[in-house]
Amino acid sequence: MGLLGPEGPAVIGEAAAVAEILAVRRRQVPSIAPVLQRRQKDLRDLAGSDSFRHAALWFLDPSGIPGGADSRLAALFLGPEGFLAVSLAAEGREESLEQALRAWWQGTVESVRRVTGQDPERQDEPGSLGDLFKDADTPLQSGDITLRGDRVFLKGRGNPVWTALAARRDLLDQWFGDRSQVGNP
Amino acid sequence: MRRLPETMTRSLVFLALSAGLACSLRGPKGAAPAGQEAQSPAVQGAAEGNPAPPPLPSPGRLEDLGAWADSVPVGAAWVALFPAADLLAVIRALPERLPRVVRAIDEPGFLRRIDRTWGIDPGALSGDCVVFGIRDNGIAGLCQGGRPGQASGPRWSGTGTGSSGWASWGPKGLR
Repeated sequence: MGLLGPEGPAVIGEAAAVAEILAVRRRQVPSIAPVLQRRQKDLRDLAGSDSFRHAALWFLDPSGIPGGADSRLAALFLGPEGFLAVSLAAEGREESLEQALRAWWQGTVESVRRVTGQDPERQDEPGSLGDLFKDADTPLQSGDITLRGDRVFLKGRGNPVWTALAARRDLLDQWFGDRSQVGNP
Repeated sequence: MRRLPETMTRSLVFLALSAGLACSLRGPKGAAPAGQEAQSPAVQGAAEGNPAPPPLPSPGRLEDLGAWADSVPVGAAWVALFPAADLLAVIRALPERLPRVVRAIDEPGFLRRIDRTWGIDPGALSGDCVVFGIRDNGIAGLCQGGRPGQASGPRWSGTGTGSSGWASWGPKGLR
């Protein structure tokens, strides 16, 4: 953690990634500014679907995400009422993108429900944790995939972040667990 | 168990520590319902069987992302943008919602431990945050405002190099 200059911004992250930030600020590494400029048409096209204007996640290189092999750009927009993921298909790949996302979503629903159903905390403390897993399931229940034009939408209610957290609590444990034995104050 | 793809889940969990969960915690603040997402002219044209007209600019948060572009390396595979206030709201909620996972049962104690472990004062963050992932080089983020915590914790010490370590610079080290 550190500040870039006397007034910030604050920087935090894995060492190699933070080193890249510093290199960009020193102009030793190119920034994404030219990328955003070059891909402005597609980016603005995706942004046109963002009615939330709250939180956004852009996959500039979608190759590592579901359907990525058939997609040229994807984004996830989140707001208080729900979420909307949009993936722009590579040329002529609309149907295969839709199929890939449908298959991934079906597998995700099944696997996450298996994990959350086995959660030991849920059995011991059904109060708030019950709410947590209800929140985690809302996107799974409501998620709906549609193909329109050259893009596939995944739209739903609730917050998929709860779903991701419920499925991957190991990441929270890694970041916030007390394995360092610092101890609770 | 079939896991969610790593890139997707790590991205989402970072959003969890930002806007997403906070949205649930705060409740609606006037945004349009999810079912009423704007359709780009290209989509509308395709749906009506007409030639797609040029897309109209509707930058939304994309414009805000542009303000950070000079600090994000070209190798970023994904970039997230969210309000810093949401990050704090989520951190405050974690001890209540996942007390065993984060090994804390109250907010003040959890915040103090974050300070001691990570050297971060979450309460000092303001404005927007941007978090990005670089293939093979991990994840990093920037937030407007911010103030280093009272101490560098064990997660920072001695791991300032290597892709799997964590940065250990103090504020002067980045100036």
